[in-house]
Amino acid sequence: METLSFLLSGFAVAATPLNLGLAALGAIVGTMVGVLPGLGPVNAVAMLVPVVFALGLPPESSMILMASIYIGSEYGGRISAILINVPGEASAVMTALEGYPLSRQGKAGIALSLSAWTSFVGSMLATVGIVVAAPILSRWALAFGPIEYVALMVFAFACLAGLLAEQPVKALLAVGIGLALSTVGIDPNSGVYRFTFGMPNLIDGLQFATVVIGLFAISELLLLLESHHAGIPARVERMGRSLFNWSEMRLTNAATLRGSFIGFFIGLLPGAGGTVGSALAYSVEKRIVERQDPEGARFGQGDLRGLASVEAANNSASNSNFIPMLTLGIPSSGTTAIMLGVLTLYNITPGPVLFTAQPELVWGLIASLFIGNVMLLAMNIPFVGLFARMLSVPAWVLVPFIVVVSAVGVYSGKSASFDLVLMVLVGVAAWWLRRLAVPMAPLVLGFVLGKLLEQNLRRALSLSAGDVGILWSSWIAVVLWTAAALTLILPPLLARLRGRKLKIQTQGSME
Amino acid sequence: MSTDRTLGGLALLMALVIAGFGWGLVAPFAYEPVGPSAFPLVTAALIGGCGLVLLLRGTGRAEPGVPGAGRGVLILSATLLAYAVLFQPLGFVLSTAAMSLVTARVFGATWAQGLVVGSILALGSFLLFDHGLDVVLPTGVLGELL
Repeated sequence: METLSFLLSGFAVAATPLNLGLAALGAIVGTMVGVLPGLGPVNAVAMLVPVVFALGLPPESSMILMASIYIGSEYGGRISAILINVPGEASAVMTALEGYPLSRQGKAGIALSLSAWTSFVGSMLATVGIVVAAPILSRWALAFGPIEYVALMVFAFACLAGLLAEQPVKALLAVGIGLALSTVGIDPNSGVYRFTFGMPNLIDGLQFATVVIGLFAISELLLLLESHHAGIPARVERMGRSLFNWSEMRLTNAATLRGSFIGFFIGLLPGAGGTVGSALAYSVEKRIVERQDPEGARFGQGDLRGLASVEAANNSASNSNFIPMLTLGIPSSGTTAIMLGVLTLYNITPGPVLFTAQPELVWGLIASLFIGNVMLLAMNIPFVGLFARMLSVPAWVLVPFIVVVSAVGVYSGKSASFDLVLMVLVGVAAWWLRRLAVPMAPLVLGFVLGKLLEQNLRRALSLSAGDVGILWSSWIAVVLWTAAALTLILPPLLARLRGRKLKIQTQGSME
Repeated sequence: MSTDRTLGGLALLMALVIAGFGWGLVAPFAYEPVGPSAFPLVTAALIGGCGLVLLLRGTGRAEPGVPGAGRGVLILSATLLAYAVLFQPLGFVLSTAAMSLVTARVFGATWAQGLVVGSILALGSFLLFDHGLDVVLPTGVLGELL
């Protein structure tokens, strides 16, 4: 009951004209960046970091704007996957498998409307899941001290490397680089300048906005240049009937529910977002349908059930992503990592106390997820053609626009050219790393969590006067350390045992 | 050039630099058992370890690049760097117009299209951000004109 009254107060926060407007704006912008191949929520949210401060938005409004961009892009990613077989963003890879064949058969309208509906169901179920699970988890997490925190963060990094990345070594390297970047600047405990190399601009550390915009927006433009030269096919097929009918909905109901559940639980794991969730949901659905209905299964040639489960799963996963972020302060995707970084810029410490210290922010955000999803469904069925037209915006308009918004944002922080140069250098370095398949999500996670990890580590070691043994002195910590070791050791071991037969194709996952 | 082995080598180099500078970090007054140098050394160990694995296991095989993109990437990077450097001295409007023109050309626009994009973006975003949203942008050589 207590939860219900908190949720109602959350709706009061989310329903103010400003926050409703921001949710709507976020939903539109999110769907648009979702449609554009290459541009994902993480780029848009990164570019917004300085903007929300320049506009003087309160923390809950910033979170609402960024969250609705995040969930909006999951709706948008499916549009280009279905229409032109190019996933608008990483988690829509599986959508293209069933969606594009459908649009080749002249059923694009059905595929788009049905996937909007299952996206909505997945998102809503996951948001209900947040309401139920998050308060319980946050109460439990209050027992966490510095010792458990160190273990938890190491576990999060291990998950990112072991579960998600195709090459765990590169993901760990990315974590290391992120952690190293977080140490630049004055050390708050001792007042010592670290890695500032005599540059006054580095004394208070690398600016968060500068680093994330370089990592995501600038490097993306350089990657875009390569795909631009390779050429994107932009032929939109006939739309056909624009709304699915009852029998199509009845056919896919079970798939939608299964996809939602799989996505929800996958989304809880650090690092594994919509990309892994949708891949798993697809393979499970394929196995189930081919056993139950061998005549009717058309996987690979446009099966509505495959499409329904994939879209339900990736939207459900991106919503349940908010649970570890809000309750433990451990973001599980690049986008939620940036949102967490923004919270720290507002001097809000993420973690289990967030629920008690910032109830307006937490519940306002959760309520706005409900509102945002309704808006997204309302926008995505009638106006899908309008969003699809984004695909015809030429790159030579889009790219200068992105550069200008990025530069203005970075410059607005400290009005220093230094940050602009740093942004470009970080961007070029990130482009090179991404070409070598070094994932960016672990890097930004390391950068966001680095200071917190170091503080907790030092606090824990202060308790024991320097004895490292304290790090595994509580049972929660021991469980987390063991889990971290297993997630790193088991996947390569299993892969070797199975002769590298099964390997989910997840490329980098930039969400 | 762009191979796993290069990546491993650079990572190892980065680890050495971090360790080298991190080693010398000593707090003048120590209140706690762990000083400012410990954490950087841990990250150096992580980066160095990964670098070593990549160096030993790497194939040395180059990633196939997209033909024609290499020069574009070089031009685009140089343009962005020039934009960052000239942003203040030249002022927002002129530097943005020039950057947009070159970037648009790199992405296949004609000169005319580039000029249109450049001038609209430069003036439009200056009015929007500087006059509309109170983000103070440098006026540079145009000075009092804006």
